[in-house]
Amino acid sequence: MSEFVEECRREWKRLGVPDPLANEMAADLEADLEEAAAEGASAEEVLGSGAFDPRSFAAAWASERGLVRSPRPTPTAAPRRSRAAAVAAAFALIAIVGLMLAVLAVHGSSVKVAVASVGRPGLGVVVPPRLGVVPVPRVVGPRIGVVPGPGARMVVAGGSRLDLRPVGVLLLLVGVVGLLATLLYWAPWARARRLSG
Amino acid sequence: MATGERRRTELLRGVLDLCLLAVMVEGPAYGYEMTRRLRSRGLSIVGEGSIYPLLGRLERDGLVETYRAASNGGPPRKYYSASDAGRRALAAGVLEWQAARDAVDAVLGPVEAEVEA
Repeated sequence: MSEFVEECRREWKRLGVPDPLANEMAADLEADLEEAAAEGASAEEVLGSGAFDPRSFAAAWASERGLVRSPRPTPTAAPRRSRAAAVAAAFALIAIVGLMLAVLAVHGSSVKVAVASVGRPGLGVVVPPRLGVVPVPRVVGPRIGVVPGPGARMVVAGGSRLDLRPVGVLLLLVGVVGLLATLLYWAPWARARRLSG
Repeated sequence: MATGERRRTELLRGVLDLCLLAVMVEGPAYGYEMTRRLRSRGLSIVGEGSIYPLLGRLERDGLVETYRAASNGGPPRKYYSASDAGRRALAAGVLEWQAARDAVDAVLGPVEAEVEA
């Protein structure tokens, strides 16, 4: 049986088309394709534009015959890829944030903002307006001024320390595990196994 | 898809069911045989939607009757023929097509003459 017909059969199975009817359609299609090939005609001459998309072709045929209530949307490659990319990017972002927090926790020890006086020009840290709390590494040497950007709200952590290392490590773990799970779930071979099952 | 091809596709989409019924009236035919009959009249479905979903719809709507029979030396095939309802639908569709074609001709005909002049 040709690859095209096999793909159609998988789609009919996915849509719940009864086996006898799926067998009948597959046999007719196979015979037509073989006859066309024997005459030197291309698959496109038999199937029209459907020759390039067996799953849509199979779904349309079953739907028009009334074998399925309405064609369940066939996940096409492009939206599937973009969805996988979005999920993977989200997990990657979580992992990066976790890594940054862990590194800051190790090297900076805290988020305490202890030095708020404006120092010499050039040593100031400009705070973007959207940041409410700014992690600043603990400074041992020269003093560093923190200069709020336009509209920024300065929050001074009054000396209390917050150890971010566990949070960072946790986020890093969640991000990495999620990223791996996403890649495994959307891998072509894993999808093929699920669809054929 | 080029503009010309797209327009041809749109035009054909509305009448392909009538064309299938018309070739069935000539005698029962299986899927590829209908494709062959259409092609012999210069109507290729290359680039168009397939006839199979359309045949499925005609069958669901009771416009065709089907039976299985052996083809010439090949495996058993599903033959389609126009039912009484299908013949009535074909007759009505041909009238609609002619009316539409005449109306479009009335609009486009003078343009064609001007372009050629």
